[in-house]
Amino acid sequence: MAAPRLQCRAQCKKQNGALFFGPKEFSWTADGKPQPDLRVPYTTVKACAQNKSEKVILKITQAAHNGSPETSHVFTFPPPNAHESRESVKAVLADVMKENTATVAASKDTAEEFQIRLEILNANAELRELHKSLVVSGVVSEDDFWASRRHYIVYQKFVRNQRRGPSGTIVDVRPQQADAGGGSAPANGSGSDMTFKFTDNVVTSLLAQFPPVRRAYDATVATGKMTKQEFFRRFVESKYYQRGRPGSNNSSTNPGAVASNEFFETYENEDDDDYALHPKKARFERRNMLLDLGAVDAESGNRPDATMRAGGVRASLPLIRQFNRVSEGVLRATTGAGAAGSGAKRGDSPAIGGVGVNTAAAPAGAKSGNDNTNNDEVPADTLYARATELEDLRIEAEADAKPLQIGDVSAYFHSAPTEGRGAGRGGDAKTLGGQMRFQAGVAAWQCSLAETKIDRAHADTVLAQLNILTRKRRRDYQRATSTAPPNKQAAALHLGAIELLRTFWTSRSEASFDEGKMAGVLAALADVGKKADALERADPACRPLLQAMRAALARAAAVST
Amino acid sequence: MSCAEDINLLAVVVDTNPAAWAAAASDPDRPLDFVKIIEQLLIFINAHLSLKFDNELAIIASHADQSQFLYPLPPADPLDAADDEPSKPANVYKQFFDVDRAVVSKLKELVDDKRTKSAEHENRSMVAGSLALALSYINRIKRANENNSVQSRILILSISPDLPSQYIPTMNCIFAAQKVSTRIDVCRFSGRKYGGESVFLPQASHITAGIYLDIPEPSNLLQYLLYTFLPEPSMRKTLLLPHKDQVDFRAACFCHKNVVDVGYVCSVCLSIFCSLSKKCPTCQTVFPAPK
Repeated sequence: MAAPRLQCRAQCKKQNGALFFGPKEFSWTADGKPQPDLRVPYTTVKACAQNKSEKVILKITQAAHNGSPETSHVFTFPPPNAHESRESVKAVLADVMKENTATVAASKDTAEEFQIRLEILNANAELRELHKSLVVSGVVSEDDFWASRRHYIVYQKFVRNQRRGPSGTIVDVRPQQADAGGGSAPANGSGSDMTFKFTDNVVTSLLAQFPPVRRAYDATVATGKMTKQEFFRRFVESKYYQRGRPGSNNSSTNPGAVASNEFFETYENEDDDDYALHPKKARFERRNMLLDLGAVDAESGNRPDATMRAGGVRASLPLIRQFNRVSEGVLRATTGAGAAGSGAKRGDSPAIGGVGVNTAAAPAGAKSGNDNTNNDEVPADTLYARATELEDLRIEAEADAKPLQIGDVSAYFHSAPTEGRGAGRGGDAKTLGGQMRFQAGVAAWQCSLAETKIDRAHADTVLAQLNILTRKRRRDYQRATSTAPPNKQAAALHLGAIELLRTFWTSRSEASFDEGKMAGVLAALADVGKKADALERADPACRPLLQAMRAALARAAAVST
Repeated sequence: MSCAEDINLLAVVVDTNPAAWAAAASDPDRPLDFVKIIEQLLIFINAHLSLKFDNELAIIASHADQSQFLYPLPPADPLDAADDEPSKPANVYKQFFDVDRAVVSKLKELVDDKRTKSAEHENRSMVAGSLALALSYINRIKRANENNSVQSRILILSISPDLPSQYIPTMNCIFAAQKVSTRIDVCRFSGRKYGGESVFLPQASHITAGIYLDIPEPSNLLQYLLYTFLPEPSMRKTLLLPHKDQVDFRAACFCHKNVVDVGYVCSVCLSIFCSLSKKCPTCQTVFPAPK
């Protein structure tokens, strides 16, 4: 028997006893009794409730099932450990109830699924027709229909969850021409009002283009110190917008230029951190242009990681330093000098959150160290060649043809003994005589080709016959290039028949044999057959298609009887 | 691309089934004379040889129980041949003369073969074997002429009925011909008492992009041959040649070698059977039985 989930003491109906939580149900046995008085399967557990008073009580509600109405059981947990027992029981029951609801929610007919199906049907007219003819009429169930079309649903779900990211275009900020018709653009623009429209797209683009502007934005507008209008007014006045245009530094045309430039200047300088161990311009190894996407540690890609900088958050530096000191001491104490040595080597690895990456990175560091030493020795060409030669990309030399492993070669090549040897034995006298004559004729043959004559009587007929054949070929070729579109109704009927047949054959091969469904499918197939007859009478051109369909239907009918 | 240096190789497979030809000779409507047919064939062959200097030729006889090369013959033993070699008449082109002589003598030998009793000749012809011989000869010529491209085609003069027992070897030969881009052209004689509809030969010409012709007027065979089968493969895309349009795509089942039109196909080795079985006899794959 599997180990019980939980066992604890509890009182029920004023009797002392023990609660026992098994794999599929829980039970309560009163003291002294061999059999449990109460058994509750987990699937029926509906809810549990507790009280706040001195006595530690837990009420478990059992849903109505198997004839018994909804009942609740009250358990009192005795001291000691009354609260702990109750908590643990509640935890177990919470798991159980979660499982219960999960099985319900796993049913496929959630609202979202329904929505997706509707969307697919709206998009695809052919599928909609098929759906209407089969599912709405009740021949094929909804689940069956969609079971073989899961890829549609998966794709639609994916499409729904796709969100467009922010636009990547770099917008060019231009003033709106407020009065297009009235007056030419003023020569100096000092008195004119230029209106700028800053939409979200524009803002995102600007902030992405100019990091100092972004820093300023974060410091002022995001914190509420400055309004957006004020900020962007400064922006427009500053050099970022003016970009060396004529009149940018002219104080008459651009009054706020100097002040705005100063405003942004404060944000331009990145903090010069002594604690940042990576220089601002990171070391860039031009030698190896290959990107190592598999590297997991700090030195990934070509250049060393400049995003995680030690001391990036100034305020937390003292804390981090202390933390590192303490953890190093602890590790040294526990693992000995070896760890300390490697820890010291990797001591310069970036540690942003203060998490000690030091010794954890030691094994990884050894690996990347290997790479580095390799890179120094090997020239770049071989490096690229090695990295870009992939097994899969190499053109496979065509494997030599493998002979077919035929089981019984003699049976394969030679006929079965019941072969129709009635191809005509030359046994009877007539053919024998004929063969003798044939032999004699060949033996007496004196070949003199110069005297061979061709009968001219039939020459013209032969020519005419050959011409007919060639004309037919030409006509067929011309006809083949312009094919008529197939009859739509026939195609729709054909699709429906395929769907029905698919349901028929899959349900036959499955273990669960549903008589009613089969009968329904067969009835629908018969209906399709009748429709095919009617259609054929109307349009004899689609006869081949319908013939093939009928043969398949007949086969299905024959198998099912 | 056809260049002037292409070598055209024509391999002719002549169906010399005595029973069929005997039946054809005694047909009331349209009797066939084997000798006359062969003469017309020889004229056609001479025409082929005369088109270009380095056109190649091979002739194979497909008899009831064997296949034999009629031309080119293995180098004869000099001692035997020296005596009875007829001298070449003055106004005959040597190449033509050689071919004609070889064909006539070998045919006579073949038909007159005293080894097999004539009563034992069944109404069949070893087409598959002859096709295999032709293909190997073509392969040999191709390898011998690696520098020039060899355009090869096979012409079958057929009168015997199909042998379903030979379905598999025939189809193998056809696919091999397709692989080496050899066209298979077929001339089919049919009348009331001889030759019926062939099932495998139209498939052969269909797959290999050859020409299949029924010959209603056998006495004018030469006209058919020169009109339809003389142009080399590279010329065929410029000309519009007659062809049988409807092809019967039936196959023979692998177990009993009967011709079937609906059957079961093994999804692993693509062999065709007339009845369902648990295990494919060819590739030994086990299939779960349907319930």
